[in-house]
Amino acid sequence: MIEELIIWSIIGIVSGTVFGIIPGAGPFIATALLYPLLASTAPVNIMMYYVSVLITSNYTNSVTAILYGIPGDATAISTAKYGHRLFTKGFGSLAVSSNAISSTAGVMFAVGVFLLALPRVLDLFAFYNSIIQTLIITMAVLMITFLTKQNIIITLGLFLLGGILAKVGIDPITFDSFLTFGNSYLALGVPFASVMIGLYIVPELAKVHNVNVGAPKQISKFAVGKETTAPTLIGSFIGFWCGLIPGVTNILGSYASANIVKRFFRKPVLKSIAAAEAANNSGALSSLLPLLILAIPITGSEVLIYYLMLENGFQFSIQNTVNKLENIIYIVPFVTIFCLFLSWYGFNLLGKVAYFYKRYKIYVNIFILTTISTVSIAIFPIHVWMFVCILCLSVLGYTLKRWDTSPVIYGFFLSDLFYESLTRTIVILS
Amino acid sequence: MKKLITALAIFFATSAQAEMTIVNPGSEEGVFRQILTTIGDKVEHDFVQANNPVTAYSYIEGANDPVLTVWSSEWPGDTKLKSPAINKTNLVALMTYETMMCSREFTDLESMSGKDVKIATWGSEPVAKFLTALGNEKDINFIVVPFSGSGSTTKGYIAGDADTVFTITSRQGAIEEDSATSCIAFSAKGDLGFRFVDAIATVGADEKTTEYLRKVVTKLSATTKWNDKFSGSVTYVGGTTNNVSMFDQAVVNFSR
Repeated sequence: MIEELIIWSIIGIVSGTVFGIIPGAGPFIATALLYPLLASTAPVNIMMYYVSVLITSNYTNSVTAILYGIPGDATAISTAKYGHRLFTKGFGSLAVSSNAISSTAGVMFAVGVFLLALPRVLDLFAFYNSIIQTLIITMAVLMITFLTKQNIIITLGLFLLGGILAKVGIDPITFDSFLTFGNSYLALGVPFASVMIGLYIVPELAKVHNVNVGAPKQISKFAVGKETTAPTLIGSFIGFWCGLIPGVTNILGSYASANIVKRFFRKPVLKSIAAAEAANNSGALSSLLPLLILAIPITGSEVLIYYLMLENGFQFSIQNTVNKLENIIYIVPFVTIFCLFLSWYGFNLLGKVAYFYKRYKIYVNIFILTTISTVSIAIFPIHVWMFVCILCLSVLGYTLKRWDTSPVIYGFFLSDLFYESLTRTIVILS
Repeated sequence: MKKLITALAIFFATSAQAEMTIVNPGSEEGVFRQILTTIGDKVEHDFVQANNPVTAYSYIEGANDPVLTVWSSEWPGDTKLKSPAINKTNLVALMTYETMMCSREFTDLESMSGKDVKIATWGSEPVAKFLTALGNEKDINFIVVPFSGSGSTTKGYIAGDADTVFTITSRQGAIEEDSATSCIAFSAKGDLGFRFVDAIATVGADEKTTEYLRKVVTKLSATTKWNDKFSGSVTYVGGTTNNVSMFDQAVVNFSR
């Protein structure tokens, strides 16, 4: 039993390491590729694998974020923004240490709350109604718009662009078409990976960095100051709550935490990374609660896990979660500590790659972009549509290179959710 | 031009020639994909992930190979959608999802009479139509708090967005985790005249292929894995003398 759990945990760690680094891949693609293998094992092993993938990918998606400013997924955008800035100024070790330790703290926080909340978990869900959701999303939208260094109108425009791109296609409930012009491809909607590549990664890579890349130093000690403790706790708390929102989960958590810290703390760059990463990991684990207790998956990868566990006879309930999954909780700290050293040691290795990055920046950027795009096209069911989207959005992204385009990503995730929550809130309050 | 685009899309979406094309009109993570991939494990096929029924229909219309798909009985009533012809000849199986109404405020449908009742459920038109009809019959003014699926509906109900919920019976366990709730009406008992029905059907396939697929679904639906995976649903395989009236009714619904 325990041996099997360890083996599945290792499989999860390996998958999380690989797919965390590839933008747009993450736990969903990792799980989809291992589906046949996972289908043959017990539900408790499936959950062990999934928890390991979640935790590991949240560590590794920050590696490329810090090194190249390219986030492994949307949850690492804050880390990419602040971490890469530190890296280029020669403080990469601080960014990595802070990322590793705060991620670990976020996991520990979530596990602690998980254990404490389990007996009264329904009260936790009861707090989280549509009105609260609407308030949180409204606050996030206001933060994105007003806590920006660039022109508010530009930020708002980019946010709306993200919202419009998310809306293109056929509405899954009403079947209304939006900007499809009768075209079969547009009816599919704009894939998120193409938005991420074209409108975030391309403009980031196209930006001319005047600051030289500092030679990466070996990270021989954790250089984390005391000042990151409070941001880490804030991030863990906000991330835990945001993890319960379907659709955005820890993406919103990391963004909100980083911006709150940026607004209220002095010298906020390092603290923002700490808050974002703690929120990321805390939120990734709290998003499991609706799945395990109410059988409600709220992310794409959770849906796959849900079917796998159902197929293997798991009944989702508080009782079963407590009885059958308790062993996992005891293995999580070991996975976390392993990831801590993995990201620390792994960064030292990848740091050497940064020398090449410094010398051959253009070629490296082209290589990274080509690899990411190729993988995204290969894993999307309609290859030609992904290709066209990446191409068109990259051209658009290049023209937007002078601005911070991260609001596009948040607009893509938040606008639809905001509209749905607001509609419900109006009905509830009427 | 449209046909050319469709043909190109199918060409690029598939990597090898196969005897059948499976078209999924649902999302990549949804139950339709699970149904189709489970059947797909038993037949040689190309898979097209259409994401929505509008795109799925254009693939089905332009396909050269026989197509296997799943179609919801809610869709043919929607004027914005075109649906493939579904009849007794090409119906492989029906999957029915019984519905129920639960509440922490009311103990039966009669106690709702003459009142405004906020109800968490799907925001789709067929559900709204059913609730309006039920409301007219029982003198209840249902006010729908709209959600996009059974999962978010359950979560919204537990969070207190509404004190009454209309959903599928597979969510009963989660809903009754809230001890103040009692489930008061069920379609399976005849209290509610609405259940979700999905048709697994072929398009452009010969009788032999459809019959083969019926055998595949018969075998699959007898397994524990299938029943665990699609718990709360009942699978009725076509082409037999059983449940004739249900199939007749389904064909009428799919011909709207």
